[in-house]
Amino acid sequence: MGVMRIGHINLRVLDMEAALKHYEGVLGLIRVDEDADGNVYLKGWDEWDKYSVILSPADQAGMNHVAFKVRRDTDLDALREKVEAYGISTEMVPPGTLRDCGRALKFNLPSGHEFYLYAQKAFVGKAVGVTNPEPWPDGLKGAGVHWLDHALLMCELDPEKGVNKVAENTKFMEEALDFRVAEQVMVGPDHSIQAATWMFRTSTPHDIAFVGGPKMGLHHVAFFLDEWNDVLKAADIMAKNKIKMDVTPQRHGITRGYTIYFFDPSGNRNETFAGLGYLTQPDMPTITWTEENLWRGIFYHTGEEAGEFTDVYT
Amino acid sequence: MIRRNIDFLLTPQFEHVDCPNHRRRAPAAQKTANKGTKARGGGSNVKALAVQSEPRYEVTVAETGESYLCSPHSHLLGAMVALGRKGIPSGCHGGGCGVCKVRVVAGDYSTLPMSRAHISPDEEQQGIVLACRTFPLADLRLEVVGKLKKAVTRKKFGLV
Ligand code: FES
Ligand SMILES: [Fe+2]
Repeated sequence: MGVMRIGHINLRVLDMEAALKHYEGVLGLIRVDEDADGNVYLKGWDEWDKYSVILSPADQAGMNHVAFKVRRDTDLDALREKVEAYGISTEMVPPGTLRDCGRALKFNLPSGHEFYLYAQKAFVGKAVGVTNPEPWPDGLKGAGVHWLDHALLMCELDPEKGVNKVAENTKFMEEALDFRVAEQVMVGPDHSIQAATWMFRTSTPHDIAFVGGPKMGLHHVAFFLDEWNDVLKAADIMAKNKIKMDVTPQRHGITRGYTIYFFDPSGNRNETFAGLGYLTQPDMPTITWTEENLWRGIFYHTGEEAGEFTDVYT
Repeated sequence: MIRRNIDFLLTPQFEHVDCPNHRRRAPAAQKTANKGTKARGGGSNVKALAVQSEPRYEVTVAETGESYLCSPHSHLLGAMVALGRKGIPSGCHGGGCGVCKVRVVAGDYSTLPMSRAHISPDEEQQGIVLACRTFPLADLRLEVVGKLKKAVTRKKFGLV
């Protein structure tokens, strides 16, 4: 079975109080726990595992790690073998290293991003329950996001120096973790440089994405909303709360999602992402966007860079 | 009433959260005298409409010579973009991405926490700050430290 889905992301924040006002009050995540080091754990209302976001107090913004959940505990051993065979060293960390999780396989992607696989996390369920549930719970705050949807990681890309961590990550995710490429951006004179990829294990167009940039980092973390009206409402809530928006509601050509890009109070880019795009399956052919159409792919309506997509990230 | 409404529109609405980490300081290289907390008045209509209870300071960007007014409750970047001005590169407005790096060459200011990935303690000592985490306590003169890449750098490979 292998990897199922994105499990959680650990973000660094400069001011926890401001961060909580944002993630709880504006996004509508639910605070579930806090540990002795001041890390705060949150989940979307539509998620059943205990948490999908860890906020960690830090003196710089960005991402500490991203973790994916696998189906069975034994998958961790099988995947460890594949990752090691690929040439990446791993560490199996004991239960509890990731709070309320079983043992976890820790390693770094070729791009340097810290990555965990785990099979078990404490279950808390949804407020609506599993017996004759209402379609949504009462008391949601802000945009009331459903779940952590995906993360986009910036990976070092310098074709003149022969550096392409996008391609390296993509190959690794395909070969060692059995991810598939839903869409890719090919650039350069003969369209031979893989500059961005959107990869999946679920049946949606992406669970993780990699985009080339001058240095590694976190481009954004995205939370799911049902549909276009929810996106508009979320933008209203952000405007009311004077959230710095990078890109107001619009459509991605790539993945077909409806999007808003905005920043948390530490400067980490967030996205509210609606629409399930299209069904992906392991036998689906990869969609390719060429350099001339790159910005139509990213911002379908204007076809040019909106906000500070390429230069601003943590 | 009309005057108040108009003034509301002219006043940048970026909130400045009081927090224990908020640091007040003047740049090491400061040469000009502090002009105190008087409200800017006279001259253009915009200045005439300033609320008396809220001081606004003149922020000058050295490279362009452009200046704009900023209240102590607005960060330098938010006030600039709210007035439709340019000069300091604008990004996350959260002290995380580093594009709005400036050097304060004259004037008092206070700051909120800034990412150490972009501002070292040493730089902070020299008055190098992130404009989106910096609030004026006097008229300020700034130099842009972050590169003004957009307009001048061509991306050879679409994204880089
Ligand atoms: S705009 Fe990102 S640090 Fe100021
Ligand atoms: Fe996204």
